[in-house]
Amino acid sequence: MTATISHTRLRVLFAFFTVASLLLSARLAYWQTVGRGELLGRATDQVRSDLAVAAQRGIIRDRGGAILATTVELRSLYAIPAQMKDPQGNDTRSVVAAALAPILGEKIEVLRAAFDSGAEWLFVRRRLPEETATRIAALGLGGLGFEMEPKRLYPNGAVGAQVLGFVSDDGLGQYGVEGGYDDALAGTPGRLAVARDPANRELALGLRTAVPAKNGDDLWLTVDLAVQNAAERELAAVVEREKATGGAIVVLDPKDGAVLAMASSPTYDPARVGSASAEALRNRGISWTYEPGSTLKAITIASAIDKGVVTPTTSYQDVGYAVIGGRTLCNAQCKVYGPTTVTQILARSQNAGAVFVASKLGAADLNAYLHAFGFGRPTGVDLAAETGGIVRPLAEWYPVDLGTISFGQGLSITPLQLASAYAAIANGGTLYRPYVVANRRGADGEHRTAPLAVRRVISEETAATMVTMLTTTVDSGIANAASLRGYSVAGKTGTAQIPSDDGRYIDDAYISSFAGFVPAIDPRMVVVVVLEKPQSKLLGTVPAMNTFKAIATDALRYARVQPDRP
Amino acid sequence: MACFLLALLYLAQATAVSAAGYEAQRLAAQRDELRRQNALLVIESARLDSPARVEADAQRLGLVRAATIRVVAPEAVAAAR
Repeated sequence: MTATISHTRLRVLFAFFTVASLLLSARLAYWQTVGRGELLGRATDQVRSDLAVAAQRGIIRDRGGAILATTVELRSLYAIPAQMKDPQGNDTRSVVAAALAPILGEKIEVLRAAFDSGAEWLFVRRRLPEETATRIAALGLGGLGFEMEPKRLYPNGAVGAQVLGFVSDDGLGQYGVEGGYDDALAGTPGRLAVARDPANRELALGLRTAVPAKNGDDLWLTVDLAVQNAAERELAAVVEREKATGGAIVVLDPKDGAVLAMASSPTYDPARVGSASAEALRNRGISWTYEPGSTLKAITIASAIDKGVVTPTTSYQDVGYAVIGGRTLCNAQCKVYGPTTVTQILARSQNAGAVFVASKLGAADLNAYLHAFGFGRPTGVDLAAETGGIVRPLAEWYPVDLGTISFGQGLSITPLQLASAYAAIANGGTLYRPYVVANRRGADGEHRTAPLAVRRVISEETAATMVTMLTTTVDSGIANAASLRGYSVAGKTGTAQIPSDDGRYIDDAYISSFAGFVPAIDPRMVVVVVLEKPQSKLLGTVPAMNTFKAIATDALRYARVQPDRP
Repeated sequence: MACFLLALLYLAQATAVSAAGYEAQRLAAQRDELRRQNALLVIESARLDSPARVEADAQRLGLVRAATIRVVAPEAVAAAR
């Protein structure tokens, strides 16, 4: 029997298939033309990976090339608790926790709690030391894996911590050179887009677009690791011995303002920056101000000699005190010296004598010279967080201020400012801007920092006179404890009271300091030592001078500087 | 037949390129790891060279700082000759 289909039904079927075919063709045409890009994108996304390629952070080196900070990829340990099973499918979280605990120095319960926290994936410990990671990898435990992460390392530990700064977990430079030169050190990340197979391996045939990362520049500092180490060692020792609350040491090359060392106490270990106090993070060489006391007498006298109002042999009759602006300002212990020359004022550190010299100079000129020596504004050193100290505008000076400022009270400075000012005396009268980064080396070549002479502050003759007077101060004056066998030393001590918030001076608390340079003729280094609240009141500035001697002895031997005295 | 041989040649080449690509990746990973190990050694070397560590070791060994250092001036040596 043969079934027959009516023509009408055939036509309907034909029309239906025709319309369906047209619709399908139209859809196909759409995806082949208008929707092509979308489909192509979906297909590409399935095999393509688009990753940021991290730039290598630049290396920081000392002036001799020793590595101070560098970045290396370290292994971070992660866990996938659901995969912690033995071949029989039994849960091994306890076994893994027990195996890891002694290696990581962690309690088993803490690790077990982390595995049981419900997280599908978690970091157990980030940036492990290489030996630790190798020991863990050798265990072959299931459910554990490693991921590389960059870690900033400081091979010299805490040495130079405040100068260097540190890098936060998210890769940002903080404080010091790391903070000040973060843009140059960080570099620019690149991108890599490649097609990958199901095993996540790059395919040689297929999409590959790459923008290479631009690694960060390497920085070569002016800091000398050996001098820095000596400064930090001596500062730590004197702060502990004198039970001081803190201190700072700055060592400068007076010829161009290069910072050879900068130590600050309290300090911190960059490897444990999380546990460092805010005070420890502060670089006291540039971010802390204090009243300089008698170290400023050298500046007052240099200004007066340069102005021509006194000479080293100008004399006055010392009666133990001076009256200025209706106030009486005494020598230490109100000691009376009688006839005194300007050289002796410096050598004996007489307050009344400093007032005599300042009175000859006048407030306007003293104020102008203080600013010329760089006080009252930041030096411009290439480190983050420098403060400028305070030299009040002349209009705010009371008559007595001419007297108190002449011997270092009523203004605040940083140790670096004092070192720069003494460097100007040492080098013949030119103030240089201190600097820490000697050169920067990157893909675009080497950029050397040109020393910057800010201004001539005093004449060469005045500077030479001051060198002689400061040498006398060490050879036969108040700073005799700073003298070194075989080398001429020029310098001045300082003892200053500490102002409280209400403007009065704190009882039984003072700042002890010494500023000097060596050798006095053709000096190689200026050293400023400042100690805050040392407990040995009777010894005064002796601890600061002893610290100067220890650093200078080490640095001169290290630099093979020929003795200039028998 | 010629088309078949051409297709076979293309396949062989594509396979060889893919295999070479995988090998290149393996070698690149090996190179990166060696560079990393080298960087770690450089850091360890810097740590061992650190003046603070050398001083501490010297003290541990009972060494002391030289009290005096004799400096010989070249002029004096020349004059003696």
